[in-house]
Amino acid sequence: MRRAHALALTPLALMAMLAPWWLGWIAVAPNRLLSPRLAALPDTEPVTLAWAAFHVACLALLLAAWLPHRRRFEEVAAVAAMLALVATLGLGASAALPEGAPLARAAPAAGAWVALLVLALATAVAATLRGGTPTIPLLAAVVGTGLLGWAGLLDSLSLVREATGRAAELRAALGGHLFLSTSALLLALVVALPLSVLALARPGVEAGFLGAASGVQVIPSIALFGLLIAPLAALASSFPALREMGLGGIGPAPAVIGIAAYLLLPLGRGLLAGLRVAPADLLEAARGQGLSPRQVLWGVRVPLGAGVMLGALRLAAVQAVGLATLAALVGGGGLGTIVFQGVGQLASDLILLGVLPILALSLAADAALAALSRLLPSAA
Amino acid sequence: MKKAALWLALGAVAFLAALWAAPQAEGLWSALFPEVSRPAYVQESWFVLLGSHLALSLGAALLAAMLGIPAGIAATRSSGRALRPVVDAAFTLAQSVPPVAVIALALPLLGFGAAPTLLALVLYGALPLLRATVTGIESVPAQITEAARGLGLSPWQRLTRVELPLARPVLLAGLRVAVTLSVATTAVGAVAGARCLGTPIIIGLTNANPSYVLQGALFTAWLALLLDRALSLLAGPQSSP
Repeated sequence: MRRAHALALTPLALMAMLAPWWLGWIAVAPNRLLSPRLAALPDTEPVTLAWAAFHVACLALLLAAWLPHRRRFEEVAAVAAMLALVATLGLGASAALPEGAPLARAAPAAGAWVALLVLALATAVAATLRGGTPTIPLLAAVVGTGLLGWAGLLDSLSLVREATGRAAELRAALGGHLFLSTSALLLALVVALPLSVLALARPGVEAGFLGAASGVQVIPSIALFGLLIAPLAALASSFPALREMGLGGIGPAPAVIGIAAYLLLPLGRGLLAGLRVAPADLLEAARGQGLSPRQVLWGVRVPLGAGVMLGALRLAAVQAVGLATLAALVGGGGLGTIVFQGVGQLASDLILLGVLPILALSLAADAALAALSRLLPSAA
Repeated sequence: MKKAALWLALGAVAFLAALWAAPQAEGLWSALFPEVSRPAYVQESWFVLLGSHLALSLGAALLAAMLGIPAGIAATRSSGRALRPVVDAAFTLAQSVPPVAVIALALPLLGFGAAPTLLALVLYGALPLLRATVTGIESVPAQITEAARGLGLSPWQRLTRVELPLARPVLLAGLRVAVTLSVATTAVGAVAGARCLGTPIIIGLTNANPSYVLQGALFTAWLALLLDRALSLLAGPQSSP
């Protein structure tokens, strides 16, 4: 078993350690328009300290993979390596930027990105081998990066400059993204919950509901959003009351409805599986005691299946965050707005500024629902 | 089975007929969207868009299969065990990154056109196939592989005559997932300049032409449904939902 850890993690740790030396740590450009060039890592004291810490953490990961297992030590080492690398990049960028050139920009180079990606993969590998998910350690890396940024260590990176320059826009996009994904999740729940309860007794409803939900999965999301625009616009123009409520062809409405349609399958499957967790003899006994169908549902089926149902909710929440990216195309707002703005200008900083919060958000949603399911009494 | 194939063929013919009729049906589109001055998409032939959509998504699926299936086979050999956790971890990570994010991130590196989309397509096609190959081969009962070994079959013979045929349903299900994802991701690739059935959707959205959006969305969805039907037919009755 230890051999599996060593075999999988050794190449990853070595790759993370060597990639920045080979493919570059940071790249500096005289301004936003000129293409960046690789810059040597400045040998100031804080920078040296930071990259030394990065290497120590990588070696700790390597060591942890070979030594008898300590709980989560590999994941801790990988996250520490990621944070040390981010600190190296931030400190290196501020030291590498020429004095008196406010337009100059420094960004992580390919080697640093490869190392970060490989370390994220190593975290996931360690978590998989432990039999868990990498959500918590990766979220820790995100929060740690946030703290480094809050401490001002990353201020010289062009991505952070872009973020401070567009703080208001970013906040609005983040709020829009949260609104889109939560309202789609709620809409999907409102549809899936009664249908699942109904399907318990009627196999016909189950076949129809799950069949339709899996049919939707096949349709590309961009096509589904597009197909919803025209009918919603027609609806809004014939019922002005609906338009006053914010429903229209262009805007969040087609995206929310479309995202909710994709969530019906994971939610429906999970809710039905959860409702079926209660064993037949227990249900029989509950009915024998004179419990009404409603009491059986809320007193027996729901509490026993809550874990499974929350698992489905977790899957759906992560999907909702990802799907909401495309809402920007139909004018629905969200972080996709920043991504597609970056796509239009071919600006990688802007694209990252949109993509990174999406990843952080999906990690946070996953972690929050995982924590919620751990709070359940039935899980204990 | 025969009947389903007939229906599929009819559906395909209807699809092609609709593609042919769409530019001619100016009247239909202007009845639906009276406020749009040029409601029929005539910039490019729908067949050209269909062709490049299919070439991109099926070509990428093929490439993904060429990468994913051998890698999955390697991960199930005793010498390739180390690959297994990496595969699972990569799969978990990839699921939290929407394909459109990969396209967007690859764009500054690879430039406008089909290249960023192709990268995302191969990545998102290879992973489900790899995973399906591993689960498919691992679902083969140990007694059967033992029996094959007892019969004196070589490792290669065991793989091609026992493991892969028994893993076929799972593999085909994985292929179906990969193609569905591939068709959808190609459509999004229109944002990054890939020419496909998604192109009219993007042009329509940026130029406030809902008629283009409707036509592009209709044909993209239709194509996806047709391909899914075809693959479920290929996979046989046991794995269709």
